[in-house]
Amino acid sequence: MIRDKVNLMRRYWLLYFFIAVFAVISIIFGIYPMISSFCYSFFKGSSVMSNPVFVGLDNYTKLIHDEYFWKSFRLTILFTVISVPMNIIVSMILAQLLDKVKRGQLFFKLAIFIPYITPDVVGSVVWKHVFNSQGAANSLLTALGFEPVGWLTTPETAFAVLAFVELWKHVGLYTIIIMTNYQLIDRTMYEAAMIDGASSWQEYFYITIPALKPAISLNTAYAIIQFLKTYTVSRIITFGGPNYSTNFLSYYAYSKYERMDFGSATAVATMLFILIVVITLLGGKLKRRGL
Amino acid sequence: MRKGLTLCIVLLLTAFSVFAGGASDAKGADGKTVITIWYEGNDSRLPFFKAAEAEMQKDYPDYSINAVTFDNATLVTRSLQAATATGGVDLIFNEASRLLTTYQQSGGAFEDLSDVLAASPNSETVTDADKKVCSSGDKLIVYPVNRSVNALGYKTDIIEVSEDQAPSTWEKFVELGKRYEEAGINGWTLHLGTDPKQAFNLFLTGGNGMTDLWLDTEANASKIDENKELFAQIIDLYTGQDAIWDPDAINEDFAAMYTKIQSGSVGMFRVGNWNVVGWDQPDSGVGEYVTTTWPSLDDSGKGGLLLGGVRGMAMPSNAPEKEAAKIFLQYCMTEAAQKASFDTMGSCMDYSVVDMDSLTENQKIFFDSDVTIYPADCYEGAFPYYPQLLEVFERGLTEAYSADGYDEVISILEKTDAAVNQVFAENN
Repeated sequence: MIRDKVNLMRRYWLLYFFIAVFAVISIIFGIYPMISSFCYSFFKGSSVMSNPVFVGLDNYTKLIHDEYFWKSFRLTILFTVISVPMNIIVSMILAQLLDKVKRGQLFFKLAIFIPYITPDVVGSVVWKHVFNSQGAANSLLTALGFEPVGWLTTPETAFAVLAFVELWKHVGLYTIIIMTNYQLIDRTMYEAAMIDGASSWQEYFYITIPALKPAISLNTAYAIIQFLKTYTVSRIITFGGPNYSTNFLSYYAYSKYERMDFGSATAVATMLFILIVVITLLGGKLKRRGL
Repeated sequence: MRKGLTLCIVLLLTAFSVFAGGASDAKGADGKTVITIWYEGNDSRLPFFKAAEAEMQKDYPDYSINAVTFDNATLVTRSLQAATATGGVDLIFNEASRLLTTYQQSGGAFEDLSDVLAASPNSETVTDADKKVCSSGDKLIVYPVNRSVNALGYKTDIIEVSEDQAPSTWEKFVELGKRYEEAGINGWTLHLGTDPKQAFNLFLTGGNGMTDLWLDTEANASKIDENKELFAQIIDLYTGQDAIWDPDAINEDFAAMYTKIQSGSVGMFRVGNWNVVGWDQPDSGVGEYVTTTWPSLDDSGKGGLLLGGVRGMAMPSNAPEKEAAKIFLQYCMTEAAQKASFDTMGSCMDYSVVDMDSLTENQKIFFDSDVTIYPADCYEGAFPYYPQLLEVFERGLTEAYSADGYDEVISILEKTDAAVNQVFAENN
């Protein structure tokens, strides 16, 4: 058995070589920093850089008693709970529409997917200008006779704007995945359903959605991880404001890092990591149960 | 298999040599002593370093510099790491406040440069106010290179502003702001997304010479409660019924603020001595504007400018070429180096190098000896736990700027005062 494996490795040595290169990169630039970050969370403030002072669980205890941490935690969960279904539903609608478009399908596909490959910072800067008090959004409203809105200056609307920007940014990827799987559905099932007298809605709920379940599961898992880590829009558009209304956990960790409180920053990052792992494992368990 | 192993070994050796080649060497290939400098900002700083180097090499031909730039966040982290562990840098150029914070967080791992400054040419041009913002206790941690001075700017191409209407007092400032609002642009702006306390320094210190605005460095206590009405008066520019502060400021840092100013959509704004040269250009977007002193709270109209900070260089105690670096620092105060600093960064310590006749109207105020320049409070050097104090204060201010009405602002400031005193209690 081992001999067979060694022979296999000899035969495909080039393949293993390329995998090994990326494995080493992942270990050096991914796993090692993650482990270091976790270790730093047990030391005081910026002392990790100078004379490390071990404080045990002190950083975590302080976080648990920090009302701003819990506010960030709630905001992050709320943002994820709102953004994930919104992205999945919109991507499914767009995928169906794209499938029906015959002329210019490539153009629409590109239009929907390009935001995904646009650098995060660039997109965020542009949207910030659009939603500024004198930006395009308010210009359009006033041109139509409405009062301008404080899109980024009131907590509720700032939160909604970030959810919208993230939708614009990410829905393209989910749409392409859904659309690809949609095109693989056996069309004879629809013909059979039509013969049996099924309505469009029945076809959708009893054929389309079950067939897309693997793609929806994949998108949901990816979206949950993505939105729990939301950072760039908060950093570029609102700086976590107004009044900490968009201060998600990733940005909260960054703000600690800016103050050179590396112990607390890494503690927040570790808590976020644990949250993501727990939710992902929970999702996997639910999926295995067929939910 | 053998070919694969050979390929792997070659690639690993290549990678090793690339990384090994990146390591700094205090002795250059030509045997010269190399002084390593890390600095923030773009290459606009380089002419200053090169000018100082050229002056140094007249007397020390075997000394040279290697200046490397980083963005601010990276520089701060790397500086802390270098000062406490890895070493490899002789001088770090940055705003004095950031260098002092790094000094505190490193546990005091920077050199006292008082003697170096005393031995430098033109050291008399460094005032006590400059030294205050460069020191921790009686240790001069930052060798000053140039000053960051802030004035108030107001536009003159949107509405007519007579001399009597110029914002020399608080009342006139607010009145002018309202006139800009009526003309269709924001009356005033200053970024609030980062550093929300800066407005207090500008108006209360720059305009009125007040010091120790929110911390009592002698008593180790908060002064927020003592000055809460003044703070609320300033915050009211944003939250009040007749707000004149650009509402977008709540989400802006200084870069976004500059974009707003350069779009010509704000009537009054902060003008740094480093901004003026660029903003005076016809295509800058700022338009026609005038620089003036910050408004006085009383009717005297005799405000001043704010010394927001000093840019300079600090030396980690583990600097590999300490003596050479100290020599280099002294050449930073030479006429040629100071001239290069003024030409590229809009500021210097020694104003004798400035050709006053070539200054624009808006630059002149920064070099007017009749105008008082008040130094901003500098707590970074006073408290090792200053980041904690600052975090609590900024949280309170962020809440205050979103408050609904004057009474709520006062209430939030009172709570913040208690929270800051709590930090003092926990650390003393």
